[in-house]
Amino acid sequence: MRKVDLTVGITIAILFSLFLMNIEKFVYGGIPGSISPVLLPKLIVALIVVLSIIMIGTTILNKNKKSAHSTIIDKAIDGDEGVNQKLIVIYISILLLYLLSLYVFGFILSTPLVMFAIMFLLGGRNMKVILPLVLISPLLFYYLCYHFLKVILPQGLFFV
Amino acid sequence: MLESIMSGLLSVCTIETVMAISFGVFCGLLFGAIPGISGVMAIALLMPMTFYVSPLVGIPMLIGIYKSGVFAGSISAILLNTPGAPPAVCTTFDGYPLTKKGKAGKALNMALTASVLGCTTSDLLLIACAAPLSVLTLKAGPVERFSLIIFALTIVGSVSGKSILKGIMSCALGCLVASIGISESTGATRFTFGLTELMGGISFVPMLVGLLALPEVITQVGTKLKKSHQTIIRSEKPEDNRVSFKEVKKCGRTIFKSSLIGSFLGAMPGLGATPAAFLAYGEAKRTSKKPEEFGKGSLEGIAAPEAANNATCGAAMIPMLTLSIPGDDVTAILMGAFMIQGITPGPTIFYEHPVVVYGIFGSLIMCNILLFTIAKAGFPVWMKLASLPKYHIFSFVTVFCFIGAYTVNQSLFDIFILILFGVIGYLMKMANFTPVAFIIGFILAPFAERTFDQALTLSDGSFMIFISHPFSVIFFILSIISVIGTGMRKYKISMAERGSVLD
Repeated sequence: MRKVDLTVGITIAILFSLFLMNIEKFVYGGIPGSISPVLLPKLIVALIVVLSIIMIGTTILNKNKKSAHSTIIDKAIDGDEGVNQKLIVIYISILLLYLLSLYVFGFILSTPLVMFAIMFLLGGRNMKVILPLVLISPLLFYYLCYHFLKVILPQGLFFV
Repeated sequence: MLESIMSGLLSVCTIETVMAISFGVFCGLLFGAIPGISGVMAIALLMPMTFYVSPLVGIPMLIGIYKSGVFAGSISAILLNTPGAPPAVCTTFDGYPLTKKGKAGKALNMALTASVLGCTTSDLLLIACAAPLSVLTLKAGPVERFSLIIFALTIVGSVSGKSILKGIMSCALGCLVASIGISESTGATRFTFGLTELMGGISFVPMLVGLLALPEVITQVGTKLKKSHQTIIRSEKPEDNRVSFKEVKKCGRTIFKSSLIGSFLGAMPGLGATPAAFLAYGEAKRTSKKPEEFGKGSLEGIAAPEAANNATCGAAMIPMLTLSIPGDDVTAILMGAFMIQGITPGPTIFYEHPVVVYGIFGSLIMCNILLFTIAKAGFPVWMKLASLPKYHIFSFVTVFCFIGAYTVNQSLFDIFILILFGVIGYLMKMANFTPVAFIIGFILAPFAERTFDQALTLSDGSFMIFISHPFSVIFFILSIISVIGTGMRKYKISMAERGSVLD
């Protein structure tokens, strides 16, 4: 029995049951007619609830084993290394901080710091290569977007 | 009509299209050759660029990335024993042993030749089948179309992942997310939670990049990196670094058979290149005169999976162009690219946009020629790329994701959507849910809802309309059969594996 499946199944079943019961509250406006705007979404949510209940049932009844075929592929692609959750949390935090700093400081100031942080996080220590890369490439991206895509990347609160 | 076909085919000979395909092929090779990032990621990242050019420039570029990305997965498979993408797993079995013998050049050349031949077979099949099939599907009304979409969703959901339940749930979740925003038929605002940014629905590109590209980066970041200093031994004999015509001819039967396997499985929604490669490899080994050479550096063992996985490329477009059903992640992105250009892929495309569709057919062949030329000319470069440090690649990919998400609407909210779906995509991957099924559900949901509403309007709200049309009934029965059939097959396989583990 996979603990993950059970947790996911129970979470989905509870959340979507609550959503199904209150679905009308999340819809407003529209032209009154024979077709309700929540009809298809209701059917979809009901299907998700039913499937999650089946998933809980099968997870409890079945002691699933990974198929040999999928294990071959997983091993070949990912290798046998473990997963470092700490690095993942740090990386996602960097992404959120990047979003915030794009709003405040803009693309040109934020991107070198973010690129440097990611490279450092992933074990990059060769400053002779990293520093020119993180300083030049954001300028190049900004220029390419501005001239070829006619898109101005975020400029930040202080530079508009 | 003939004039449109000719002008479509000739449109690929323009400098812009050739340059766009070359750029696409280059990017596909670049992304595909590096383990951990794939051609699909490249397509997702470069899709926003297609908004700024004509469909006959943008879409051939994406096709170029698609084809070269599938081939490029074999580069790291052959050189480093690390497949760039799942379809290249079988290529490691015989490719890497050849590299260890100093014959990496021979293995790469065979993989490229088989890939291009597989692609060409599949493209010709697409060109021959798509238009006649579209004539048949044109006759379908809203009821048949709705049942067909449900059939496609159940197939995609049941075969694209490891679990049928999770596959169908992923499809359903994609459909639900697609219903956010203003309802097309009633004008009601659904599930926006007071956010005005959600009135237009979830933006496709940030969601796509978030689901396909970011989870890969997150996975790689979380994987403990090991420094690899592999040196590739190269034989000094020129014949060890190329394939002769005789060797290609010897593998001709295998390549042809594998191309047909790949084309057939590629045309089935949800199956894709990985099962095609495994099936072709198994079949080649079974029918080979020298099966004992498989796994030790057999050229047939490289040709079979490579021809099969590339043959899925052209064939995967058959359901998209004839039924409006994307069969895999790449065709889902291509369908999105078509729709952003104001073109709805489906049976009517042959009458409404013949120049575009025949231009794309021409570009498929042009892609093969350019793939062969560019890939062959740049083998030393791809070899170096395959061993680039991860910290360079992933910091650039992260910034590309942000740029790609931002450029569509020039909104920071889209970047928030990107991060949100990146995390969702990672969690889905961890829990074995399939992002591909989610994306296909998201794309097909508006079509499903439109046809569903049309059918109910025709019947004054009665659901009986769905069982009063014979074709609709057939498709609903097929949907049930496909779910039960796949479930039973998967159960049998798991029981057999459990038996073999216990033995």
